[in-house]
This record gives sequence, C-alpha cells and structure tokens, in this order.
Amino acid sequence: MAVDPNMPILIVDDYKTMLRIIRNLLRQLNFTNIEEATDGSMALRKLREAPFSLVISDWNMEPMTGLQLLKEVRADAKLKDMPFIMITAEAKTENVVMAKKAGVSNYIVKPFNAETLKGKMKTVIGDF
Amino acid sequence: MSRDTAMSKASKDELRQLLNDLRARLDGDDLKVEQLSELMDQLSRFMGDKPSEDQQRLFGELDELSGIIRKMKSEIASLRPDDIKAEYIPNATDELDAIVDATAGATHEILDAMDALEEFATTLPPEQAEIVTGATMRVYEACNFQDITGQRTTKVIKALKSIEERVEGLVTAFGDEIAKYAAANPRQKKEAEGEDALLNGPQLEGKGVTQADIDAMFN
Repeated sequence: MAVDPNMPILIVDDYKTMLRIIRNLLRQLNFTNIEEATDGSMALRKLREAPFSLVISDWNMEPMTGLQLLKEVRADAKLKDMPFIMITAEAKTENVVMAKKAGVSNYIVKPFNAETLKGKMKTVIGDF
Repeated sequence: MSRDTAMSKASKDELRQLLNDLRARLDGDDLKVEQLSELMDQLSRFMGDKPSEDQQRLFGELDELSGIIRKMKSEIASLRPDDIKAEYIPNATDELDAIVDATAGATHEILDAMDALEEFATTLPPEQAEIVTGATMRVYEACNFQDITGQRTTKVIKALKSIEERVEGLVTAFGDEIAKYAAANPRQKKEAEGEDALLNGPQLEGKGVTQADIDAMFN
C-alpha cells in the first residue's frame, strides 16, 4: 500500500532549530501534515488527543525523555503499534540496544541527512 | 606500670573527650583541613614528658603530616582557587553560552533564507526548482551541526559547573589560608599595554558598544 503523504507525523525535539530542520526535510520529502512537540510529555498528550501515523523523536529531553516517551507509547494499548523513529546524538551501542529493547522502530544518529531519514522512514512505514 | 596508668584520669578524660569530638566532627563531615594542625598540637600534649619510642615515632609522623598539610595549604592558597571560581569559570561559561546563542541565531537566519528560497522555487520551471530544492535540502542537512555543537557545548558547560562546585569546596576549606595569602601577595595584575590592551574581544552581548554608538562617534 502506498504511503499517504498527508499522513500525520509527530516530531518531538526540545530544540526548536532541530524541529524546524526535520519539518523542512519532511516537507521536501512531500510530507506536509506535521505536528510538533518539545518534550515527551507534550508528545504523549498529543498522541492521545489525535491520531498519528509516525513519531520521530529526539532522546535527550526534559522532563520526559524520548526513551520514556517510547516506553509510554509501547505500554499504551491504543498507541503500542505506533511507528517510532528515534533521531538522537546518543550514539553508544548501549543506547541503541536500550531503544531496541523498548521497541523503537528505527534509530537515526545526528547529524543525519535527508537520504538517511528517507531510508529509515521507508523501512518503518513503507515505500514512498 | 603501663603507659595508660601513667596518664592521670583527668588527662585521659580530656583525651577521650578530644577523640570523641574528633569522631563526631568526622561523622558529621564537619572537620576542615585547616583544623588538622591544631588537632595534632592538641593530641601531642598527651605524649607526656618522657614519651615512649612508639609515641615518639607516632608524634614524628604526625608532625611530618602536619608539615605536609601546612605546605599543601600554602601551595593551594597560592594557586588562588578563589579567582578560578570568581572569574575564570563564569567568564568561560558566559563565552560558551554566547557561542550557543550566536550559532542558534545564525542557524535560524539561514533557515529563514532557505524558506524564502523554497518559496521562490515554486515560481520556477520544474528543472530549476529541483536544483534550488536540492540545494536547500543540503543546507537543512548541514544545519544539523547546530544541534550537535549546542549539545557538546552544554556538556562542557556542565563540566565547568562541576569543576566550579569542587573549587568552591576548596575555597571554603582553605578560605582563611587564601585570604592570608591574598593579603600578603596583592595581585600584580599583568595589564596589557599599548595595542595589546585593545585585543580583548569579542565582547559579550551588552558589554561592548553598538554600531549606532560607533556611528554617533563619527557624526
């Protein structure tokens, strides 16, 4: 099934510049229905309020980190199957292992490029 | 006659009291390094007029330790850790904060410019629009650097703040010694001279003159 470019995507980062970069990259990949959250708690609230097809989240945020957000999502009966990509500067093996254990769909290390983002999104949501 | 019985009951009580006080202060983390020498002097009073060989050796060790501590205190005071806490670390963190702010501001400017270019690209023929869009995407990718450098700088600031806390502990512990040293050795601030004295930029936000101030000087 083809991916709908109008699918709602939630991007989560406490750094506004990064949100803007991801938003622009997604727009260039033809995804325009993008919502933003600046920490895990806000993201969780938005996820429970409206339907999303993909979450792209940073890890290092306060008060709720991206990993805690991921765990909350996987523990929520309605959200547990949500595709979830982590984009983070945390590049240690144990971070990736921890995120995988928590059920992350894919993992991108910063700095990243559009090609990497596109590739990981294809893996998670299908070809577009 | 044992060594214990050689001490009077009053002396033993006093020594016991001294040791109990010491233990309580150690348990309560209330013992300053500069108080150790004084404690050793107090303990040495219980050696008696004719100390045994063991007592003499112990006293010798304590005396040597006391000397080392005095020397160490003096050396630490001469490093002026109060300056590190009061001047160098705050300056360094301010400069790093300024770097983060400046690069964040510049990144937003770049992104604004890219937004304008993307908007403009929609008015171009498809082939040309594709070239512009490709170029703006590369700029967005490159702007990743700001997030990474920001995070790295934040880590350095945290490390500096941690050093600052430790230096503060040092300043508290050696406060009297540092004050004595500072009084005895007034700082000979090495002032830059001539044109060298003019080289201390870039100034932090609000610390220098504005372009408008400069323009006013030319009017």
